Amino acid sequence: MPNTCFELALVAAGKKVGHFRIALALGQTHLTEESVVTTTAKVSILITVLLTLPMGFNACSPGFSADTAVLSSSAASNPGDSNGDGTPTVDSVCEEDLRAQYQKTYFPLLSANCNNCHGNAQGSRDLTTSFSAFNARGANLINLQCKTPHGGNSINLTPQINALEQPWATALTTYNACQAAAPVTPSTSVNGTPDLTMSGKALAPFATSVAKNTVWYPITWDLSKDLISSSLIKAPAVFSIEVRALLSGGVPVGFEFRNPSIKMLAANSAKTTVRGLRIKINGLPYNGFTIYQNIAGSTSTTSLSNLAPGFANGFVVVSMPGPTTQFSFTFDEVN
Amino acid sequence: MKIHLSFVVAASVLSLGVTLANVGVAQAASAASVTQARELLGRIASTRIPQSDVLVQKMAVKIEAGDLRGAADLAMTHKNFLNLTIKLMASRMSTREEENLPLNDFSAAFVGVTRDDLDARTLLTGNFTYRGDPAKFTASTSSPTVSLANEVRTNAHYSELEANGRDFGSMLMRVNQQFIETSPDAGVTKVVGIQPDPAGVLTSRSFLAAQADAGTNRRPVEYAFREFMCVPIDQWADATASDNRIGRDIDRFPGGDNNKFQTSCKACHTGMDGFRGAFAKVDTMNGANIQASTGYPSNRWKAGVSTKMSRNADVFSGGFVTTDSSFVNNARGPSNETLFGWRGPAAAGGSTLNDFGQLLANSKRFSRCMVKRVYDAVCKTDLDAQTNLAFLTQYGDGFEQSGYKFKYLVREISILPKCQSAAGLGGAQ
Repeated sequence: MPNTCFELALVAAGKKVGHFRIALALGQTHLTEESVVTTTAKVSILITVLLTLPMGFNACSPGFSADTAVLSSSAASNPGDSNGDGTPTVDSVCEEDLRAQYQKTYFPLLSANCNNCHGNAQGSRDLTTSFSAFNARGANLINLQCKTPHGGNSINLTPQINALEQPWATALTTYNACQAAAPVTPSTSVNGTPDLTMSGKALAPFATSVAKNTVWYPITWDLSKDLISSSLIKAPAVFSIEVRALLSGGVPVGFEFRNPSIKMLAANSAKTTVRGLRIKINGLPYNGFTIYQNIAGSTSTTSLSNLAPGFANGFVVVSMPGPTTQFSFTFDEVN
Repeated sequence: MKIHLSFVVAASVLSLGVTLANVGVAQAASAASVTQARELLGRIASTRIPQSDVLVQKMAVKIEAGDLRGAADLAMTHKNFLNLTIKLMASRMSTREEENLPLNDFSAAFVGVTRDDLDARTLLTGNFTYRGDPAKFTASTSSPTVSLANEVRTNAHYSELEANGRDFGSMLMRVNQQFIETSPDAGVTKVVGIQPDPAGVLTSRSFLAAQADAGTNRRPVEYAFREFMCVPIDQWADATASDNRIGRDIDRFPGGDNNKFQTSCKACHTGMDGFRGAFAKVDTMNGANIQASTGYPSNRWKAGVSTKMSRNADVFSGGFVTTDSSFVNNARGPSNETLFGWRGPAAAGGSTLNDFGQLLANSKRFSRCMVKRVYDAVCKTDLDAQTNLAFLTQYGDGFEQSGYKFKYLVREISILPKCQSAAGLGGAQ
């Protein structure tokens, strides 16, 4: 059963109760070591990142790799001590387990067969480098490449990959369950107001979405109750977004989103205003999802109001996307 | 013989009188002032003339009296201030190669706006063009082709205007309207129509022929920033900005790797594609500007937007679909906000190409960039915009207070000791 942990900042009618601004870049995907953080560590990392932001993030320039390094260094590099105080966290424990499974499964295969061309990525003989690159590309894409001789070589690892797929799927299920079991504590944003986040939800008909990729599935959150903690102040509104599987070369590699919208729960409710939408995957911020960061809108009716009309679709790339992958959202501000 | 002798004597007396008159001017100025006047004239008018020239002598008197600005103003009356210095400054901004070219409608607009002492922001927002005034031609300087159709399609009019050393700076006339081609040249008639969305030199034939030829109309954005903001795209790329406007033709998995998109491609396209919509209805054909609103030629447009805006739409079908000339400013991250200093009603975005011109023209960066352009043109150097930001800011503020007048910048910059050494003109030749 999919776990729910969508997260959203909220406010009671007419009264601002939340102002949450998440860190912008904590690694490339939710599974990379660099992005393993706990809720308590997020605040310090957030401050670090915000302090480094004025330095700029220019890609297409020699400075970009340096900027990436700055961001990466903002997050804990030790997966067992991501909160920086020497105490292993729940998230880091989950990550360590998954990493151990990777070391037993994909790592020997990729480092032995893919090192010539992908020695700085998934084919690296360094576990951390290989694991990070593997997660950035996603298992599905790696599987496809392994089964398809490319780059002038004749390497075909189909039997080996087939043998790995089930163990890896099990490892991911365990990982998701591990994270879902983590106690959720509302964190605090930079200005000291509560971190009000939506609970997590999943695209249950994932397989159908892969097969019939033209279909979009609306997923909604009742902002008066679909929150990560019942102790949070609620808003009398509904948030909705359309989702489908993201395909690359016909292979599912993540999720695609469009039409984030809000409406009031009841006609007599007060006006709700939101600004800046971010996403979390399996509870962790996904820094590449910048598309809705500047949206702003309000509603006082029970009709859905599109917060991003005409936008390109937003998307996230995750390792082994499936019906149990949890995604959640948070607004920078809700009033 | 007697008559002949009388003639010689009379001529000698006349010659002596002229010489004495010149000496009378020069007597008030020292040799050093004369040398300084020649150097100042060299910077402003890109020209060397003898120290006995009346203009040099008058400038020297001003310099002797401590009136350097007055001397600079005199230097700006020399025809080559417009015909060389301003024209060359502008022509480098009008093409992809950034090289010196013959006069064109882009550089003619710069010359005209400078000559008429107008607000330089209108170079990005105005609905005007400068072309040869038939009334200014004489029998000895035969009139160049002034056919409007010729002007809209080719550069022949401006090339002719400049030919044979003509003082085109004084021959240009302002026409408060821009034009485009609305019908093909089928060997019969070229039909000219009104430019529906004028934006100064951004909608000049030269600029669009260079930057909007083929492609996907991202290049006009890149070069608008390069030329009028003095910022190459790698300096304002931002991977943390919103990708809400990145088109369908940009691969989100280049080489099968989304990471490459996130860390490299995305950075340039967040800003560039955000602005690209401003050029949605722009295209060129055989060197002429054409526009969607004219309906010609029909195979270049779809639903009122240039088909080049939807090229390779199947690369990422979830990408942004351009439907009009609206644009958004995604270059508003902390570093870019500081770099550009956006101001005005179009700071966050707009709905026309003219709005895009206003966005650029009203920014602090435009003023600073024009300081660099003038400095480079007058001081004959290439000022580093990154390491001289304080200088650009100081003179950019003055430029704005002057009403965005190029002559103000030329006057203030040309007299700087810094400019004198940068120009490297040395002593008199």
